[in-house]
Amino acid sequence: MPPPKSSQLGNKEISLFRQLLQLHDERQYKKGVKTADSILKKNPEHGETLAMKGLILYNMGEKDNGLEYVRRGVRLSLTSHIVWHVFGIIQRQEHKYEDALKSYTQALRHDSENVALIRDVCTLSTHLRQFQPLVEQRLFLLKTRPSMRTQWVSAAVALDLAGHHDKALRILSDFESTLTDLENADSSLKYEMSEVFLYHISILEKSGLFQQAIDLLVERQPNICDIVAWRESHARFLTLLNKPDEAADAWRLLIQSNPENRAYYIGFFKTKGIDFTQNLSEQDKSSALKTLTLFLEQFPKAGVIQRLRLDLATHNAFRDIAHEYLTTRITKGVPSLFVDIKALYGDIEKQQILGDLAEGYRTELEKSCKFTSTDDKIQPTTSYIWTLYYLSQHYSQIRQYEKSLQVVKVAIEHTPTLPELYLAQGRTLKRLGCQSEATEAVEIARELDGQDRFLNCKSAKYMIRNGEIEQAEQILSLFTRKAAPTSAADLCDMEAIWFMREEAKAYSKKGEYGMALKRLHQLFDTFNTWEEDQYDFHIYCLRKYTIRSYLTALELEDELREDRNYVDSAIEAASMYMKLHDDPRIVEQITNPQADDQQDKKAQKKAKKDKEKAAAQQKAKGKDGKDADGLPAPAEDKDPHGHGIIKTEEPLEAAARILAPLSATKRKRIDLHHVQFEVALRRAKYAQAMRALNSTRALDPHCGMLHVQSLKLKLAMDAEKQKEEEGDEIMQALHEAMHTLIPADANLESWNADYLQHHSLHPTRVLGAAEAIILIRGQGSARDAVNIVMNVGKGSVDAQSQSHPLDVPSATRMMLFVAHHQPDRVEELRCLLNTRFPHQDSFKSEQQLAEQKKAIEASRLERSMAEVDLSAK
Amino acid sequence: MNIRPATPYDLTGMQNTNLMNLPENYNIKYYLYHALTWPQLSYVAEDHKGRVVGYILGKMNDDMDNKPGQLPNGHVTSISVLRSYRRLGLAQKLMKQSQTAMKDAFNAAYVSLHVRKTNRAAIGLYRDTLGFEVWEVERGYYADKEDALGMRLWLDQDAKAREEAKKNKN
Repeated sequence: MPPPKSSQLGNKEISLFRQLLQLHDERQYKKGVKTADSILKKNPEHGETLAMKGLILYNMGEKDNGLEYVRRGVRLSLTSHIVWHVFGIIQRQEHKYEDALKSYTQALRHDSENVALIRDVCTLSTHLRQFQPLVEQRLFLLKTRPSMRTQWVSAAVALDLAGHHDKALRILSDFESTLTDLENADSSLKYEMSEVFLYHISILEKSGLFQQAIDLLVERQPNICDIVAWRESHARFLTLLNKPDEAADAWRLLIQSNPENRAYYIGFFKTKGIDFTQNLSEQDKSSALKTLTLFLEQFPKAGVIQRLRLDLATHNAFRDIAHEYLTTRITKGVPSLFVDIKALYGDIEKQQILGDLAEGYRTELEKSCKFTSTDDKIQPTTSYIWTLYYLSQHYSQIRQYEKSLQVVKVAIEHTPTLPELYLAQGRTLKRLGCQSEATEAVEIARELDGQDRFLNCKSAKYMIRNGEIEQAEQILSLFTRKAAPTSAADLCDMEAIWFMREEAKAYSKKGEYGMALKRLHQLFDTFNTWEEDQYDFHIYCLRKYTIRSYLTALELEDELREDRNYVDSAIEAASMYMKLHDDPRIVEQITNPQADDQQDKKAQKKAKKDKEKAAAQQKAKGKDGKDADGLPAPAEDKDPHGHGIIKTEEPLEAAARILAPLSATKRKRIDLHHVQFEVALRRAKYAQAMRALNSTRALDPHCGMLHVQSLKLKLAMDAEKQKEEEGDEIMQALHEAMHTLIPADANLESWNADYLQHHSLHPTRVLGAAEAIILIRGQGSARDAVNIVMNVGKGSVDAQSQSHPLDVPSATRMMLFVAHHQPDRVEELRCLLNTRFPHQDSFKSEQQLAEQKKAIEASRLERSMAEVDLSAK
Repeated sequence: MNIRPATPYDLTGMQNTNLMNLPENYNIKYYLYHALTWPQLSYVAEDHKGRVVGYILGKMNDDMDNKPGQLPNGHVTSISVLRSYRRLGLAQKLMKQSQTAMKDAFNAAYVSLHVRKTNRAAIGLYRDTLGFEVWEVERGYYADKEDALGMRLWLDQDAKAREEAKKNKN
């Protein structure tokens, strides 16, 4: 090992340097800086002192300055472990984990047995999933510290993560043989070792060694604290080892301890040769039904059993069970009744029976206050209301929206104080596309119970969807922390994904891309935070021995961005960035709006209000900059309107960065591949574009977007071809791949005509063909292309007879297409679509919308007048 | 509704339910802390599609070092069920699973929780439905100085008798 550089120092400075290290550890930063300065006075080029001073400055908040000192220190003593360690610490704090690991590894080269250093290297390696170096370090630590329990388990975890299950098992067995007298150990050690045994068993299970797993499980039963995990493993292993009788008993024991866990019944029936995940024969169904009835006698309150019976029963048996299921829940007023059994609606017969039963109750309740004429029991009026509530949702589900609204109206007239009724009404209106009336209904529900946050969130969500963002945030603020600058800031701090998504969509719809992207970036930041969150647990869980849950958490972190919310948001953000790329004027319009613009005045007013509020809060705050909750003051929002985000120089690169984590997604998302294509094409990444096309084709070979996008890529590559004499190999391969999409010798006109003819009944495919016409013939032929689209709008094909009826999203795309290529025909198309979708707000005329708005305002006024009346009394 | 032990995969669903329902909210890291310290103590209720509609976030009180002689006890950090899934007894069923695990895995003598003195709806749920009793009043417990009721659900009746005797002596 090279001598430490501090040997360059005089004796006095050496002792000062030791002091410096200690002062840093004790966080005596000011003294530390002074000490460092007195060393540097004599030895201005002493790298280690410079690095330590930098670290202290960094910790004092002088980040840039501190980093500069550290860099100088590293340059001056490249072989000192101290400077590299310091550099690594700072990189880690900056979340540059790869760089930090490199620095730590450097430090380790010059001080290979420094345990603190090795531990940090292990944490970083785990965080970065670099398991090979992790194994080496862990085995080294185990060799030097075999008396520490955690070193054994940590080494096993490293081996397990690296895929060396057999070696991990060996280490755990060796370790466990050293444990004695566990029965008399203190409770925390008992718990920790219980976790270790269960972890050991889980590796055996993962390796398919079920007999060994169950042997160890049984042997260690007295040492296991996690009874549920023990029982679940026991039942699982017995099942896997094909011991059906014992396994059945084991599952039965689990059912006894938690009769509401569906998985236990599935496990139980599997031992009887009945697999609930498959289609069951009539015989299996009736035998399972009998057994479930026996279980039900034992656990009469278990909702899971009752619900499973509805899945299995058919015909008359179903009618009887459903009758009991519905009536008990209607009497009790269970609001989730409909959503609970909605899955049964996939079966037409069951759907019919459920509707008949509920209609029967309604008729009889109106007549005699009983569910059926043969009942003895008189029902309270609430049963009538909950029956109507069910029926309304029933009709909404089977797309009889008018009927659904009629039914719920009767219920509301009868009992105007039940919020659930308005929620049901709102949901049906929303399905019809009548967002403004839907919002009104849900707002009435909220007003009926202002203390309920669920209703508060629902109403705000509907308002946001209706574009009333400011009002929604006001309503949300009734439940967010008073100390937060705005309700939006609090919800983003609290990682309220639903809020960020809804606002992003609403802002995007208004064309306010700055705010929309701001919310989406807040969502991406939240996912980044969640990824960071695991860091502390790499050390913590090895100390607590909760390895099983920890490994699940690591798995979850690895696929964090497969989350639907991330995928949806990434698609939306990338699409918006493409709009900004295609038309840079949009940015100009958003960031420099006309001064007399109505929108702008409103925005200015809001900004002023926000500023006043922030100032008031600043005043209310204590001297220490903490708010009433004792939390640090929120940082100032430096980009309140997202203008900084949309002024980004390279919108395409931003889009590519956001899509990057999804390049190998397991999710089957055709819309993701569409966006991937468009971004790749604009960046002239033809191989990526081709990959996206192939992914689209795998999901839907006739997709209208595939049609257009294939053509776009072909045209782009052909243009490239003309530029170069001879394409390189990759281009060659791409051209060949292209020929499987569009034959080399194809006449594009007839290729497109062919496609149109084949798919003339399918709106989105027709749209694809129309777009292709413009690409082939040029903008001059926009009229022809628009004509084709208008024909779909006219419904020249009978809407009912075709297999792909026009839906609202496709109709909206048609509007956009026509608006882009022949704006003077938009109104014509809107009228057509308005007839087709009379409730859809986005296809209504200005006049219709104005009338609607007037009616809603009148009803709001009436409600607030009633409130005044009430409080006056 | 299906009731099962929570896994790290459920945490975002639990957080979402919490945000829709209650004014006291937490970051994912806090949920993760629970799941990775006491994996046995949190449960979820999920609907047919696997969406979380109710949860209990449980822990053990680990301030034993500060309060010598304190019995091991579990603590409910948060429990809630979406409004649209009420009247199914889900809170009760979630509570029962968690308290059994507190006793089995950590030998808890009782379960404790805090509730704002003015939150009558919650107090009703804890006392009438879940069987908690008011054990003590903690003055100025909340950031806004409101008092908290410290409620307990005893799992070990002998320990309860001993503790009550101690309390009466003081």
